[in-house]
Amino acid sequence: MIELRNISKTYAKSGTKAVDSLTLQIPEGVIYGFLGPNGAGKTTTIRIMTGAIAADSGSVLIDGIDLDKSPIEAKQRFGLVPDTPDLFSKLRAYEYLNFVADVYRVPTAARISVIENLAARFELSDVLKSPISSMSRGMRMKLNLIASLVHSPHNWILDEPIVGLDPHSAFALKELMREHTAAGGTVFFSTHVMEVAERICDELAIINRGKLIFTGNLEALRELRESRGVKPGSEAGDESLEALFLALVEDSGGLKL
Amino acid sequence: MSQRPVSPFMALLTMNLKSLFSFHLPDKRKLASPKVILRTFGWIVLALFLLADFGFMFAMMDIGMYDALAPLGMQSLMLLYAIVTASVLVFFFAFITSLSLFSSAQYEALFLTMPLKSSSLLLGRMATVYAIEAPIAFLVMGIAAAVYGIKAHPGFDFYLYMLFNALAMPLVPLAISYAVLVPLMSASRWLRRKNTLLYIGGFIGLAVALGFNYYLQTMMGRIENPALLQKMLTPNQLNFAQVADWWPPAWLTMQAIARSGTPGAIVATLANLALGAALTAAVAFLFGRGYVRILATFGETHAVKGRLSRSQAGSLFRARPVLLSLVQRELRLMNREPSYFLNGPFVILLLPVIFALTFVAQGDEMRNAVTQLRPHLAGPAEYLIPAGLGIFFATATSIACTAFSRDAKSLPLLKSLPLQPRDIIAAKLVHALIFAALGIALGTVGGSIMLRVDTLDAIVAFLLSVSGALALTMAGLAIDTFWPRLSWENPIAALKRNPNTVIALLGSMGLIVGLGILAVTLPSAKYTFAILYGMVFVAACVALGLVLSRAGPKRLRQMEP
Repeated sequence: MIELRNISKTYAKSGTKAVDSLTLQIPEGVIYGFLGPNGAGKTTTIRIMTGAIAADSGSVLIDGIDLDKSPIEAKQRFGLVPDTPDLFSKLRAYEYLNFVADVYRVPTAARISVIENLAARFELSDVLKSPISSMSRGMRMKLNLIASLVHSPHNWILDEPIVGLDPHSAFALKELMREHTAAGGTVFFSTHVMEVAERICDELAIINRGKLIFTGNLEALRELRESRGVKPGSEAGDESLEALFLALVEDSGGLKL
Repeated sequence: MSQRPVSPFMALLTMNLKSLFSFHLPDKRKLASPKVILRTFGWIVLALFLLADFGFMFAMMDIGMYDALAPLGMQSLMLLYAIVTASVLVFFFAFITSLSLFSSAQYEALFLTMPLKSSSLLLGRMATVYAIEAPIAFLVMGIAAAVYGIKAHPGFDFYLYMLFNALAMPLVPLAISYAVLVPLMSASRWLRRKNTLLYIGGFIGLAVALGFNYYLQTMMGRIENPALLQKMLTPNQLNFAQVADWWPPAWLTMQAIARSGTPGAIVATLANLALGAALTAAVAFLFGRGYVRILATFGETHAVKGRLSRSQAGSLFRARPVLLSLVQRELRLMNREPSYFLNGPFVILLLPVIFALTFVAQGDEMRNAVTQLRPHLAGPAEYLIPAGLGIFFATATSIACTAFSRDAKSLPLLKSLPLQPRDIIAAKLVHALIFAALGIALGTVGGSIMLRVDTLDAIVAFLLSVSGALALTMAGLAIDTFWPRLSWENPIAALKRNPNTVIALLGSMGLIVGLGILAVTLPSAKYTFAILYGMVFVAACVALGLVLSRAGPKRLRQMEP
């Protein structure tokens, strides 16, 4: 379980308030989607949530452990898939995976088992000896997915994970998310595409200009759509939740340009 | 008012030149900041200093040569020297620049989707190389023309011939460079990789710089001896002056100068320009398609296919202590990035080569200097010089003072891992110290042997260099921990254009020289300074250790790329 309590963050250089008094509770056994247009504050929230940057105020709890007070224990409890898959491109795939496994202190036999299993699932078994620089964006993303799970974390945090994945790998990822939550784990992932969230999420939060503008499950979102006068089955109602997402964003002050 | 659109080729040429010379003076609003004013002023001073430095060097050589040859009535040979020097320099620069610019082929490949002729694409790139070469030819020949003009008062047409021949000088090397490189790169996939090019370009560049250094030192030695100089510059001798006989641009330039005031000079100058232009156009036309094929296939990489066997997996995925894993990561990331390796660890190997070359070029002078210096090394200098050399070599790699700047892109991920910030800092220190140890071994041991110091002084020098190098490495790491450069687009900016590199390098040089002067100036017992400096270094290590272990982790948590 992940909890964000009244998180705020203003970037000193630009003076932009990237996250504004954000409170979220991501329960166990749930795939939680974090939606918002580009520049809404999704990556900043994830960076705060994972200890990459410090919040100006508020706190983050990972399985009840305060990230600020006990960072090492808290970080052992999650795995992160960053939004930039081209990190450490000078390393070979196995070197990167082994580095991450060393950092999480995963025993040799356990890391081999997890890596072999996931590499087979994402069809990377044949290229583990390759330099990361020789891999496509999709392959690098898959490598990051494996790295994030090498220590079998309870909480799985993914920043825009679907971007660059082929349909087969996207399907494998969705299956993996389901398995993770079925085993009692938490999945928190960000996306700017409503359609992706609609297909995968059990619950979701929508953020714009650093502020939370909706939290709840898909049913609540559909009810909100109906309360706005769009009947299910009508032409407007059939156009998925994308239009409602855009309308919510528009109501909360439009896109940040 | 409507403007006529420029031709596609001119648009391409403008884009290439703008990309290459992307200097932007800050606007009025930014100039209100004292920091920006200081930085802009600093860059202008640096540019002027570099220009003046090279200009002064060539001017001194030209003046020395003219004065040495004038009594023999052979002063015009100074111009021959300048023309040959310009030809050789321009040729090397043309080749290195042409090669290096291929490393941006992946970006240039975007132009392949536009309706541009292949010959135009190559010609556009050749024009960019020309824009780099031409100022070199102008600098070398312009200074020679100025020196000769002031001393010999030639007619006005002399300056015109020098100017137009300087314009023509870079064209033939440019054409030859691409005529060689395009087929070569077409034939080898290995050459069509950015890293390969950076390494090859870097090594050739260093070799040329070392060769140029050797040449300058040799020439400086010969200027003192007119007989040697005359022998070297006489065309019938088998030496570099013969370049003017068989290198058409140099030969035509010499013909133009020699026939000043006659139609022959105009014909020679026009022939030089026509030869260069014709060869350039021919190469663009003949090799344009090949060039486009290189752009289209540049940087193609192939994954290393092959499933890991059970035993391979067992050995490759063996668990290691976190600190060891972090140090290995530091080593791999630095040594596998050419711009980091060539400007970092490679410096340790390069510095002894420069020293060795200087020794070979000015062997007698150096040996005499050491022999003359030896009797004066009775005091603390006997151990301070080898110690200073060791400290300088140990801190010349810029590893510590750019440790966090280089890591800017991976910091968010690194900070999200369950790592003690102290371990991350320690790994960066260990990485820098591995190469510092090599620097101490080369500098202190090499220096002790060169100066023939006794064993006790060598041991004292070693201990001093170890404590000094440790203190300065920690200081460099502290600078980059508290003031890292985290915003950059190109790895070169993280290391070469990082102010911390300059601060650390100049700081260590200043400190070494300052402590040396202090020891020589203040009268005291021989080993007083060893004890005093040793204590200062150890105290600095303790203080910096406390800063890095206590304030460092807090600062790392605050770092936001």
